[in-house]
Amino acid sequence: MKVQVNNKEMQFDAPITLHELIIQLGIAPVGIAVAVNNQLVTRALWETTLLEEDNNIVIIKAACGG
Amino acid sequence: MEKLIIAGKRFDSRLFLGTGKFSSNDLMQQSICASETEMVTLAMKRVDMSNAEDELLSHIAAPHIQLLPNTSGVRTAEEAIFAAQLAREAFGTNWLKLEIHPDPRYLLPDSIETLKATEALVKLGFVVLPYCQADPVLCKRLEEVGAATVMPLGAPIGTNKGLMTRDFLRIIIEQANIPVVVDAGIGAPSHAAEAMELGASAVLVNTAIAIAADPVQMAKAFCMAVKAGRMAYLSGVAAERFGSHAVASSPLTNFLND
Repeated sequence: MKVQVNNKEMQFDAPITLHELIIQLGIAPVGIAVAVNNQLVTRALWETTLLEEDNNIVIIKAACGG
Repeated sequence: MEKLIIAGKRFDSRLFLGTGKFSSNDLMQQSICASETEMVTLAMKRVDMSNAEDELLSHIAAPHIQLLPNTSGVRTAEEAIFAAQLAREAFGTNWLKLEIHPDPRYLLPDSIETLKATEALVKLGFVVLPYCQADPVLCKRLEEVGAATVMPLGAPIGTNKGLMTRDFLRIIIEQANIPVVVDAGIGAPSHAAEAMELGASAVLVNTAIAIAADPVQMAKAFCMAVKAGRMAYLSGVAAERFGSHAVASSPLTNFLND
């Protein structure tokens, strides 16, 4: 299965949840938000959200700004 | 001094601080402290998976600081609503600095999209502080659809030109029933003091502090200017006298000749 994560293509052989993806990427789970195909997926749903072929995943965090 | 109240929350400080353009997170953190601000803006970016990054939030978050995520980078109301939802999830706050500026050259806010987004976001439970044109009619419309403040610009973002919109800010302040925060263009403490003397409820400053040779000292200078300007406003600033003749402030009795 192929997905895009922050514009980078990633390949997975077995089913994977959003929660597992975030752990695998080594991203600290605080202070971030995750969207799949331009829809916010709240933290409570990470463990039950299975990635699907061609999902476009965006993971954001804080940046400096005025 | 009396507190600033926004959406029922009380603030001692009337200086909001942006976190862009500081040369380091440590300097930014020290400047936040020196400014005595209780409202700090931040933006969002995609996580860089190839580099370990310094955690910005750890330099900002404190019990007395209200985080104010912005929607910088969005071009439409629809994008702003999506960004707002991401911000609420990431930072655990429903407060939002709404900014929609589709043109990167002048970064001027799109009034129509800003009004649409404000109305929709208020219905979704956000506390919306829209960055907007210094347009008195628009500011009334934003107030009517539930904006928590209006944040009209003094001059384009990052220009340090001061209150180019002064006459319109006066009208906005006169008409508003919600706090008016002058945002953008404030380049010196004197500009901030002037905004406060006009009756603004607060000012938002970023570039002028962040790019100063000594940002921490400049943050302190802005803190003092905002307090001085507010105090002057509450004291009743003397009206400007038209005409060129002087008006003596000492008695002109001819005590030597009498």
